[in-house]
Amino acid sequence: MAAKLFVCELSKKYDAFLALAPITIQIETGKITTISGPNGSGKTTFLSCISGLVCPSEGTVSVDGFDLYENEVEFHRRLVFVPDVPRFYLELTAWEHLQFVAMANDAVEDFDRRAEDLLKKLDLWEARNLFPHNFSRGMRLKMGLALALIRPFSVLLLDEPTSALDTAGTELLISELIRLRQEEVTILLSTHDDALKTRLGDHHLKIDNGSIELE
Amino acid sequence: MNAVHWLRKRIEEWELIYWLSIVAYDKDDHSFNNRVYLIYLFLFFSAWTFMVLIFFAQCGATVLGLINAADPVRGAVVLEILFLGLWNLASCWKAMKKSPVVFSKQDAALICQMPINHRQVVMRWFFLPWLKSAFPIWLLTMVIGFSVAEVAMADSLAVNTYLVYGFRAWIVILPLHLALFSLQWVLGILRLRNDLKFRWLRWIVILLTALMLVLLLITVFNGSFPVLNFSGKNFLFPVTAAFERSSLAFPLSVNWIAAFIALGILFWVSNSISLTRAAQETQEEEILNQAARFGLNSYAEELKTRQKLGVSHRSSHLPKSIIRDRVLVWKGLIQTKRNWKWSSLMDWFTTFSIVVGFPFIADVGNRAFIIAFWSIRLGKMAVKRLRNDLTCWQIVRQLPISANRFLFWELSPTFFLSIIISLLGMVFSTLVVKSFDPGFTLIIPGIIAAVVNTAAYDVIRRAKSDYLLNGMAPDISAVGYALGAIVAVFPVFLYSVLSGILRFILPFIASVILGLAAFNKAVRSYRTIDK
Repeated sequence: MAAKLFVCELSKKYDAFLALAPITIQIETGKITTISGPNGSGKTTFLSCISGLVCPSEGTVSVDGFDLYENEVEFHRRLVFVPDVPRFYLELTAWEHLQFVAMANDAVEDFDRRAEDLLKKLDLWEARNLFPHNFSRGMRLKMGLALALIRPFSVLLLDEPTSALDTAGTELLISELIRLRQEEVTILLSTHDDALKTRLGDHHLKIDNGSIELE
Repeated sequence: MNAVHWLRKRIEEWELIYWLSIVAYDKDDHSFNNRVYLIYLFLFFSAWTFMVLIFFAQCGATVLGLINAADPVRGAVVLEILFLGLWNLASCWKAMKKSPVVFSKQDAALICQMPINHRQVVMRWFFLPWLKSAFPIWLLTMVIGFSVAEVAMADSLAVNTYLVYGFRAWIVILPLHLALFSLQWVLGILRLRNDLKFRWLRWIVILLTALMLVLLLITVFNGSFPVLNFSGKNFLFPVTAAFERSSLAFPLSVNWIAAFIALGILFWVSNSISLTRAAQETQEEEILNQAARFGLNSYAEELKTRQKLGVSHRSSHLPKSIIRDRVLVWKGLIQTKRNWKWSSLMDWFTTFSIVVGFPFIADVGNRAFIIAFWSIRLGKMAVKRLRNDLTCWQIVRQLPISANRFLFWELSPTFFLSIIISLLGMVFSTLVVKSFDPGFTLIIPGIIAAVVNTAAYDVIRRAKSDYLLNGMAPDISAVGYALGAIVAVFPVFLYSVLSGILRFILPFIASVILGLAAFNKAVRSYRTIDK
């Protein structure tokens, strides 16, 4: 199967400190890959570099052949990253955040119904007129997921998605990820949760001291 | 209680150390030189403050003449009542909305949960806020006192007598301020006891307003109102005594009795304060004060915005036709509407005034100075939205919008609005002031573009993704301001020194090139933040 996400010789240095040693991986379409490793091993840095939130020191990342820096618009149309602690605009409500992201991604088709379904599914419907910076950590994470799911994408990156979720939230996330996999979405998620790894992961990557290896 | 006393003492010491550290005094240095330095600081700032007060007193003398040219004392009383009254009103209003007794997060955890004597806590907490509140009032009172001296001793200024005018005013107003401050705390503490039961307290503020206005009117028109006469003296004697040369004993005694009564009421009432509620109301304010004090302006701004916005708002619905990059404009409009500050009008007014005033400034140096000053304000204004967006880096970076389009939509509102306001300034100049400068009109768009884009470039070049991910976007640096001033002044300089057709063409071309170059630099930096 063709590689959806291609990471080539990606590395990140903070002055003399090597946070990520050069990494090359290919992730296939419709697969879920998990990344695990101890705290501070470089999981978040790795995902942030892939998504372009942090600029890698060396290397390239591409989705469907679209490079992160050469074809940034096409790249960002395809890849979405949900950080573990999402931040939001102070002045926009939860609903307006969804509108903003959906419209920026040209996902206007049937927006009201999709947004309502999504918020209800994530148990955020009652909070749609609230400012999300006041949300609890779990709710913020769900809101981050909602912002990702309201727009089209083919690669989904998640940073410790279950770290702040309750049992029901975790189950919901798992079922959602399974549904996305069936829709041929490529998923890369970092987690400390072995049960989640076992239940979802098609491939497992282990990261330690900035170096990645296949488990 | 000893522990509480010790803790508060530390906080008071820390406050003093903070102010001393600003003037580079090291409290841990016990050397002789350092002690001499402290004496020097005291003498220097006393002399400096006195000079500043004299300067303001000269302006104050003019104001007194405007209020009542024949009787400067009456004018001084009007001013004093006006300042004291307005300050008291604002403070009472504040006390009824938020506890006047301010507790930090640490106080909330360590003191407000402990079974200690509430009365002692309140009285111990009183000193520092009182001093902070009193200081500006004292200075203002002394300025008014000196202003009276300026008028009264116009022909024969003697330093000793001059000083007496200021210190006499201070001595009389000190207990009056203390009384008012104590009563504000009483008000706040009573409100904290039970919001519903003491709702009527709000009316006190309205009554105070009415009373203040009546007193003012009586003073201004020099009338006598029987009800306000007491023991053959006008009711205003506690204030009037501060400025007229009569016996101090009676008014001063009355003022101090008032102060002690107010303190007594505070002492009596403070036993019933709810420390927990006071802490709940004020913890955030304390954080805000600390953030502002240590220059964490972005953080302080964010906290203020949070307080202002509250928890929820009716969501607005975006027209379906606004998609892709244009959605940034809609977002910006919502943000501006919800976080509107009247003070921002001042920035636009600066632009307007500079355009109107420019034709009257003939000297190249003055022109350069004015334009450089304007570029600082314009740059700051231009990057406000950009900085706000950068703090939501996780959202912004993932939008499928190219760097140049993103920056275009981020910066264009300030750019176009500045041009519109500049043109309005031009129209105003032409129609009202009857002066029109076509060359300057031509270079204005280029200058605005250059300043706006340079400011954006400076912010972006200094941005680091790690900080952005934590919601911290850099402000414009000194280098950024300098660059902004250079790109703004250069075309103006060309325009001022050249002649003939070149006077119009070269500055225009220079401003456009600088604007475009700065935009390109900003786009390139944005695409490779961190590199």
